[in-house]
Amino acid sequence: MSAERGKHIISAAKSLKAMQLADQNIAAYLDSISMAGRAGLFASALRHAGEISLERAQMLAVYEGFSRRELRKTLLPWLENGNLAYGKRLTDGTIESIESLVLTYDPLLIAVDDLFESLDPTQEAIGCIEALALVTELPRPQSEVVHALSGIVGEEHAKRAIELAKGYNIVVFVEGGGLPEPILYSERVWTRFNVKAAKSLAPLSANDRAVMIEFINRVKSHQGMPESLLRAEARKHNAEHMVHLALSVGLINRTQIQMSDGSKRLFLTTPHFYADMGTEFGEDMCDRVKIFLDSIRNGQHFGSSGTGRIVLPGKLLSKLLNAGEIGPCTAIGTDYVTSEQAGIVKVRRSKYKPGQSYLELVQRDTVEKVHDIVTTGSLIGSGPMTEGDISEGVRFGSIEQLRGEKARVPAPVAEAEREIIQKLRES
Amino acid sequence: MSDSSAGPLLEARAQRLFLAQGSFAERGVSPTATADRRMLATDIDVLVSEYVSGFHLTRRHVECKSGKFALLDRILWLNGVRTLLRADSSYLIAEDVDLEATEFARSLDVELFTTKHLDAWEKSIGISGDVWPCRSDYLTFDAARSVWRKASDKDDEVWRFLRAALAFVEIESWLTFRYRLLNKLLRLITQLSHYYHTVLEDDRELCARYVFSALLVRFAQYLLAICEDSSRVLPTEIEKYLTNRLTFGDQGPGLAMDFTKATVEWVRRALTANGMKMPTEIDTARLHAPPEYTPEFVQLVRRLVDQSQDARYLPLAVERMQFGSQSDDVLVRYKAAANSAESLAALVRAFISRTFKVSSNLAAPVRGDLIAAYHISSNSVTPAASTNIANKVPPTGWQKQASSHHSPGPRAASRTGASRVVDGTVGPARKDDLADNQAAAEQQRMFPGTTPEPAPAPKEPAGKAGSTQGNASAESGAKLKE
Repeated sequence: MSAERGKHIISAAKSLKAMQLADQNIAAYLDSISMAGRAGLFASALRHAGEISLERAQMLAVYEGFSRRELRKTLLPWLENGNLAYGKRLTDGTIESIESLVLTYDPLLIAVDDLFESLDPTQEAIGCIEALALVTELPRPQSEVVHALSGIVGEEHAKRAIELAKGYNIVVFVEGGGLPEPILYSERVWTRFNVKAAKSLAPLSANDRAVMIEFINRVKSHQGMPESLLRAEARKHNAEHMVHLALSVGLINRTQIQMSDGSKRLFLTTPHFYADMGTEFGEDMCDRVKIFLDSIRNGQHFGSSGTGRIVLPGKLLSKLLNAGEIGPCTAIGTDYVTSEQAGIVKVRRSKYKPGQSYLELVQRDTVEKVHDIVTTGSLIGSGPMTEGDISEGVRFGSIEQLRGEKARVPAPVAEAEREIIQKLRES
Repeated sequence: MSDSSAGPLLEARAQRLFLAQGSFAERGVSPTATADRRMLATDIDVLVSEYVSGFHLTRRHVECKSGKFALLDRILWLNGVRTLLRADSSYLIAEDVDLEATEFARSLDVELFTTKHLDAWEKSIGISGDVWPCRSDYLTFDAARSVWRKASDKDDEVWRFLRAALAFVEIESWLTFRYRLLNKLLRLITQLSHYYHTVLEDDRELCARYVFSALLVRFAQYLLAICEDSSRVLPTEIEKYLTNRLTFGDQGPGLAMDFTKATVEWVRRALTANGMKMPTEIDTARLHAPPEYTPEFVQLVRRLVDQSQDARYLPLAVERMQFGSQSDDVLVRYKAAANSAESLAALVRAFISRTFKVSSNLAAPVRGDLIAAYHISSNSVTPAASTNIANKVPPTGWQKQASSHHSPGPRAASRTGASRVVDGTVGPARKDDLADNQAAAEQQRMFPGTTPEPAPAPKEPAGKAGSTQGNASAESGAKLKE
């Protein structure tokens, strides 16, 4: 059960939706992906629809390529048994209306993964999803993906899975132009990947590739990271050229914000920022969130205590959202030029404290998204919180990571740990 | 009250009266000085909980008395109980009350009613005698509870757990909301789900399902308390606030973290002094990690706050979802109130089921199966005719209707054919339960001059029944006709 895999299944199913209904390969190998992914898309549509009539649900199902019979016989039982939807029934048992019971997105993704498993997927289907996961992390040479998949589904299935994934646009690839072999990548994430970028990545050793993945993951888990911070980290490991490469081929994106004195600072995001948020909120919203996030990260990492350094960004943004303004301090007057130009906030000079300014809230939705990112580490505001967040730090970790850590503890220690946690929670 | 003369019938009628009016009402809760049953103060016959705008809880409670009692003493005592419950008003319902004390009682916010008043009240809101909504169905739930009480004395791990969970529902959890109690409730559901995944049979299985449903109802009440509590927190702080509460209960997070960190540091230094190294897995951050369900839980609370008007009826809706039956829906105010929070009740159950991997059988409505297993015939505890509307309904019809309106739960069929009901008779072990609840005696006291129908003769000789249903039949003498 994995939310991440559920996401890949849905992504793959979107690609398959574009294919003709009676495609033989889909029927033979990829039916489980198509079925589970489209079921997830239907459940997601329900989530945003509120309480709807059965007729309306049928329309949504048809949009995802499900017949009325499939809705009745397959989708509704799956949704109800998985506690994903509630069917209000008349006294004779017929469903009158349907309402989604999904609170956050993760349970839905996990349910999609469960459904996929229950559909007895072929080794090729499993291979396709694993391949997509690999190339979402980083564009990779085909041989590397085949090698990785062979360890999971066997070489023969792995090769067929790659051909199917390429043929049905589950993964996309670049080839030719002097490339020794195709480079596979996820179109959803690496939108600007091209032959030039592929040629730069192709000669990387496995070690370099691991370093690259590490850098990408660091930025991914701390979107808006100052470039200087990542470079300093890279310098320590003698790998600054890898940061340069990641920036030059678009694996990490750079934006800059302007200070009132004309100076500029650079901040980093990964393409996942757009992939995860752009689909739900649109590109324009993404851009505005990124600008304001950069401003906050600027105050957090470069602010001076004399002019107003942001120590607790979550708390600061809470106050901005609750009170409508924060301040006065000197840094507000100098560091929010770009955000003000984008209309996210407004800077107002203090009448009584010369040189100091207030920051007024203008675009609440943008600031709320940034608040979610800095407090939960999540782009959609439903991510886990950890001790670091509780103490307003900047540590981010996923529930999966925490589970993993727990699993490594010897049984008697885990037992003692459970008892302490119980005491803590029930005191 | 706990006084044995009260009996369940009058209490059940009082509970039904409030349920019928769309208020959540429960029986059998007891204030206590300890978390278990060692120091029970008394019990509350009927506790009515209503939620008004802003999720504010208002309470009323009912004391049911029969036989002789010192009226003024009881009025003064009720005044004290009301203070304990932080209730707005108290009701004393008795067979016969000297109404000259009415003004005195009212001056202490105690209302006096006779059973005649109760009859009139029931008539005025259209309660027909054959309807016992949810857990006011005392012939089922009290009988089941009585069986479980005896069974849970066994030295069996599952029964020990079920006994503790029942004590939580009836004693520890109801008086005041605390986050530590919320966390305990969620832990109990986790354990219950775990036990249920192992094979449970017969009484243990049904008791586990009852406990789950009862915990779900209490959870619904807690959610409303959390909505009220979090209304004092700034919207952007709610997530952090609830995360802290789920992680540290009612304790201050800073202090709790300091304690654990200091303790670990203490051990670390001791180990170092002895030339040893602290194992890497000893990391206090692991203890301070919030539960995995925190994001979903926060969203659930937010959803309830957004739908505050409907959410006020959540406990009633969950009660109906888990313990109700279609036949209860003739009570129009009850139905309307519960309907308004029906979707939210489903949402709450879905959250619990998903989060704690609760099997669909465990989460299923339980009343139908409890009726099949434990229901005792009304003719054995109520007279055929009286001023009580309920008593005018022929027992067999009562029974038939209750059963017919329940879709049998997952194990109903097998259980019906198993130990409890054989050839339309109730197993002899239940005779003891009857004696326990003394419903028949209560009936006689409440409605003097009426004669309970004699228990029908057993279909088979006691000896034969004993051979099919166990040795208990020898003690019981005669079976009770279903």
